[in-house]
Amino acid sequence: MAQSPPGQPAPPPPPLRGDPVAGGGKPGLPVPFEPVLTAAFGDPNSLKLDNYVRRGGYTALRRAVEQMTPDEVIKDMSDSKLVGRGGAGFPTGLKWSGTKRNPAPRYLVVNADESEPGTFGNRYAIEGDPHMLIEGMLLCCYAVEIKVAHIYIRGENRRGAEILENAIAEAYKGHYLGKSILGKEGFDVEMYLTRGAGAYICGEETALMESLEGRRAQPRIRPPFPVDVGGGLFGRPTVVNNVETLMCAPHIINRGPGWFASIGNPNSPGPKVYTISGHVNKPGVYELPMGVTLRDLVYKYGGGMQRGQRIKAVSPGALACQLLSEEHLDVTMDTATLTRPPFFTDFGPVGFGAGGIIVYGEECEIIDLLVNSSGFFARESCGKCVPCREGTTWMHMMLRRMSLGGARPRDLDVLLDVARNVGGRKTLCALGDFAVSAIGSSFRLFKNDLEQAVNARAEQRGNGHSTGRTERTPAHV
Amino acid sequence: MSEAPRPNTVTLTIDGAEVTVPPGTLVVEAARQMGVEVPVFCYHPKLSLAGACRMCQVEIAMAPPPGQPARPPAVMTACTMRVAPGMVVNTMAPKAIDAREAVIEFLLINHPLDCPVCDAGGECPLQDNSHAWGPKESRFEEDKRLARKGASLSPLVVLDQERCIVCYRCTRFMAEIPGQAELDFHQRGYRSQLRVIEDRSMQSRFHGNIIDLCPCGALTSDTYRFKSRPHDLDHADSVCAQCPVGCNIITDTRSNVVARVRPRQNEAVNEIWLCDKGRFGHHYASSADRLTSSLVKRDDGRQHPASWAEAIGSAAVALQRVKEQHGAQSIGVIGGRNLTNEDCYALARFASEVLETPNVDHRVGARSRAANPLARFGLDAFNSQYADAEGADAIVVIGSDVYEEMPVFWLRLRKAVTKGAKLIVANPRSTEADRIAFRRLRYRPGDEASVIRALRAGDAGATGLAPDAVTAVTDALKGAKKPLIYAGARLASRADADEIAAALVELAEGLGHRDAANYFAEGANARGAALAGLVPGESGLAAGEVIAAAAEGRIKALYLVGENVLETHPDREQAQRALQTAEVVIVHELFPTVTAEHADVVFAATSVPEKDGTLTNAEGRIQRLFQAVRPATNTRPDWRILTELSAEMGASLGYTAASEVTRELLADLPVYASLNGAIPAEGAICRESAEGADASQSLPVPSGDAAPPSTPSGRSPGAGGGLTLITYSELLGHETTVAQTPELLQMVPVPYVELNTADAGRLSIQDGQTVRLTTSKGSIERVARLNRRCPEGTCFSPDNVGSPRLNLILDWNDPLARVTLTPATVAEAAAR
Repeated sequence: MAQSPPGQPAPPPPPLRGDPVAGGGKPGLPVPFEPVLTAAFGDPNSLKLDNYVRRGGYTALRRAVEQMTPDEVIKDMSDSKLVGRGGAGFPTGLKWSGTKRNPAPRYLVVNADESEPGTFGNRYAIEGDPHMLIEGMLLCCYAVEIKVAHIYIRGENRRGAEILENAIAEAYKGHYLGKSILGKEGFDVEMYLTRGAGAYICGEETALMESLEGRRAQPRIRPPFPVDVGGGLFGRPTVVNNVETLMCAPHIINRGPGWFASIGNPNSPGPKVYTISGHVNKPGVYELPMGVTLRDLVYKYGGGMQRGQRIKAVSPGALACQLLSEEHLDVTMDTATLTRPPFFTDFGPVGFGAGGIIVYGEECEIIDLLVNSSGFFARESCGKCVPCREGTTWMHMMLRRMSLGGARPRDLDVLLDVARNVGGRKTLCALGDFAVSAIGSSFRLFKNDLEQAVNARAEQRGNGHSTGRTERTPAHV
Repeated sequence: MSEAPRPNTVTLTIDGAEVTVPPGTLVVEAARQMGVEVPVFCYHPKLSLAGACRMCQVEIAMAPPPGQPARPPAVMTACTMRVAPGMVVNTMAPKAIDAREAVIEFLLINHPLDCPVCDAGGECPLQDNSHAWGPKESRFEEDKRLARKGASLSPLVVLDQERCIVCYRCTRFMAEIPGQAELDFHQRGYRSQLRVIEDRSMQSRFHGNIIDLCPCGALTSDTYRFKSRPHDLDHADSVCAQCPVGCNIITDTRSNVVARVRPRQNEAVNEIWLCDKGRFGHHYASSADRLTSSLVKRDDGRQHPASWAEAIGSAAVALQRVKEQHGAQSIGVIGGRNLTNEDCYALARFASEVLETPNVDHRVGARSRAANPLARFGLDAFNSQYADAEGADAIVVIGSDVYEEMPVFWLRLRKAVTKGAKLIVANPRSTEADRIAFRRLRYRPGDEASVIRALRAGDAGATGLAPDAVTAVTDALKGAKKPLIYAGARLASRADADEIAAALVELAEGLGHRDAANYFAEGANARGAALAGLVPGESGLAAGEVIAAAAEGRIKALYLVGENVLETHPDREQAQRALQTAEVVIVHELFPTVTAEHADVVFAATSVPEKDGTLTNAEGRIQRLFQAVRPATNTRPDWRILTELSAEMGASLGYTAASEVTRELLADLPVYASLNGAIPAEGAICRESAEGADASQSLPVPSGDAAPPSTPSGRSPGAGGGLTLITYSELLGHETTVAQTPELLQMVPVPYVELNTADAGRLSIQDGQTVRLTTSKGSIERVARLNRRCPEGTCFSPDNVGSPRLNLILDWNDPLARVTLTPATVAEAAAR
């Protein structure tokens, strides 16, 4: 359970390196599991620097600065097998070393633009323990020799932005930011917080950097990649990391990469902040070993299904991932499992995203689910490339019409074909694939449900051939 | 390949055939090189990559690492992928064709498909690619997106948002080529809409190019809208005669009327760009205001339409009489800067062989003898090619607003800066070039020679420039491997032209690049006119002196070819007096101008689109232009008028066709000797030979910090209560060429005077207020523009904008005259 009730004493400091690790050092054994990322959530004092320090905060940074070379920090990150928590699942150590290979100045950008329906782990992290993020960022800056770090936070997350602003100010005051941090000559970091204006595309790392540079947020062509000269922020080599990824760093340094690598699925190990929402009795934030089964998430932690209904579908990583169904209850929920066969379909990987599990019960009709999810992607398409700009809205219009009972005979065939034309790596960034994940997997798993619902609604409405639209007049053509 | 490829090339396979290209080449370009066309919308070789339209998808298999099995091919965009050794590209793979078909389907679901009424229909990449790659029918059952139609982005460019396929070519062009990011998309995704920043009207002088770049009919020309279908147009290759850059154009005509002008690719001159004046300012040729008959002033003192015989006869008699009574020295000839080389050559021959006068000049208002002040150093007026700027690492521009005076060359300078060149802008006034300048040197008007010497010495001296700026510039120049210096055209015709030229050569020599100095030209064919001989001969008078002498009665006959001196000579009162005092005034004109009203004989001349011939641009490139339309009723080319007139005066030039003049001038003028009578399609650079010049002429010794001689700017600001008035030309003024295009006329700035905020405060002048400028010559009203960038004690106003022109208050005898500025009172405003 994630949220410790307020008023309870702060948990003891984490064991230091060399101590016996949780899980007895045996890979894949989740129990006993001690939450580290969410330990302080819910404690109103946890936002304060002194509280964080009392809990053992900034010991990892001190250890790194005093006892480790930057390359040793990167090696620990690599040995921990930490993969990015934002969704792409790129090995973090590799990203850091790749950036460091390129000439300074380099930048760190924290992607805190979490804005997909069903994901809210980063919001809780920022609002629960902001200094853990700052410490993780400082470890990255130390390891990759970065002097300027940016946090790009979602515009709507006003509270999170205020908390981070205060935390950054405190960190400056406590000499954890600025010049010669912890007395280390040359270890200087300036940190900036930037608030977005509210666009999902800003969570895409290159669009985020465009926005951060003051331009229209649209993805860039890759290569060059952000780690390369010409590809990063202001054209400089840049580490772009998710909030949760960086929050893992202090614990890896403190407890050792072996501890981290021993937790959960050895291919993408570590503690993971799952956010569960939908038709479960106890939606919320749960820190668990990466690789718990869907069954455990829903029934053990999520408190089972509302009104005892059966599971209809599950989005393993919010709207951008392909749907799973009740038959997948024993699949482990982690990056490694859900991006490789058999969870790699003609629409690409099923995907784990940022671990935002949405559970849909039987009360939910797939057609309505798709209207909703396609509407999100149609609204949020940045419009830079053609298939996503035109296709997402086309699909949404068709689904909406079908859901209202206006289906035409070939609609579902056209829909699937349009989805294939948008997805399958045909767009500039991954959002084209995201936008058709739910639709594509619905055709695989729920085609009968879709057909039945669409036909029944058309039957009830009485005229499957009218869309209720205004006919185009000749003068308009 | 049995041989290992050289390291500076990459060999790959495209559609089964091997091709070897330089590393870094885009797949789309590699394919194009071997004749395989990959369809594109957003990709454009002159713009940055967008990867937006996804039209160019092809199947690419990367070469596997040694010893590994072949990798499966994947569909990728050919416009963003760069070639790699061993890469296998299949442009016609079924998956790629499907992807293209999908893109066309997506693009067309919301496209209005109004091709039958669209200007782009017939020359539209969207149309062509839809036919080639698109699906046969639409599967789109929903409502089409409605958006703005026929919306003006400016008086010249119209947007149909419904047709727009959001390829970002226009926005990228504006941001990257002229560096004026006036356009961007508002909203996102499905609702993306092209808008002008802050919903203003576009201000750029280059925004017509977005019409060419638009791959569908979203952006169209206001002046060409609904005028023609592409297949109804006839075409003539030509050269723009609106400024000295000499951009290559295609003149598209319909029913003997110029319908539109498009740029013609010439990488050495204009690449593929055109400024808005060149593109839109073509309506003058077909204007109803053209002179369609020659005019002769009869005994009643009024001009009457006359036959050619009468006009030629009258002019011949009058000129003959002046020549006999007062001698050939009493005749002055002005004109040529806007004529073809053929007209210029005929005029030069006419002046020297028939009129036998040395008083010939094409540079209105000029006071110096040499058209090319660098000639005495054995140098040409322009010693580089436009394209050389791209390879330069330090560029000095002095006394020129390149953006307004040499617009398309300005794009080249901008490109040089984006490639890393340091641009040093020296001008008393703030210009567009300041925005990308490495250093801005704001000097006192008239101080050019000492400023150049200061840059040579690395010491600001008495110039008043910031010492550290001068040092920085000198260091940048000294460190430059390839420095280039460009001087404004008017610096070549001023009284101190020789001193400035000497300083320029000295600076260039100091940098180890004697040929670094270049002068711009003023007038489309000013260089050609100078080379054809329209320059004052030994003991001849320069154009300004001709007018001054005529005003004093020393010149008895004025022969003006295409030169409206009442509006262009920098002293209207003097020009007026000259025209009234002269016994004989002969004018060649397209329009009944104010100058033509004073003429005894007005010959109705033909305009550039009506002529064959050649033009020589500022860099000395001679280029051919071909007749596009029949001449207007009763008009004749200038060379022909001159031929007939000379025959009447007993010494015929003997031409019967323009090509004869071309042939003769190519053979006769040494500068063109290298051509052997043939002009290549891309034109040819011709240089004045160093013959006759004294290359060893000793340079004046730098005078250190001594005060520059005879520069009137030594007067302290505010002395006499006035400001020094400096004039220059805007690209878009009220000349006849612009005035006949109402849409272009709307882009002409409101007649203004620019002055320093501090001076304005002293004079109680507000920004935007109408002020009265008064000199001993008269007074005129202008709108005040205040800024902190122009030096105190100075004000600036364009001389080709507004009616009356600024020359109403100018004094040719005192070029840096003081002008008094007073706010126009309410009473005055009411009285107007």
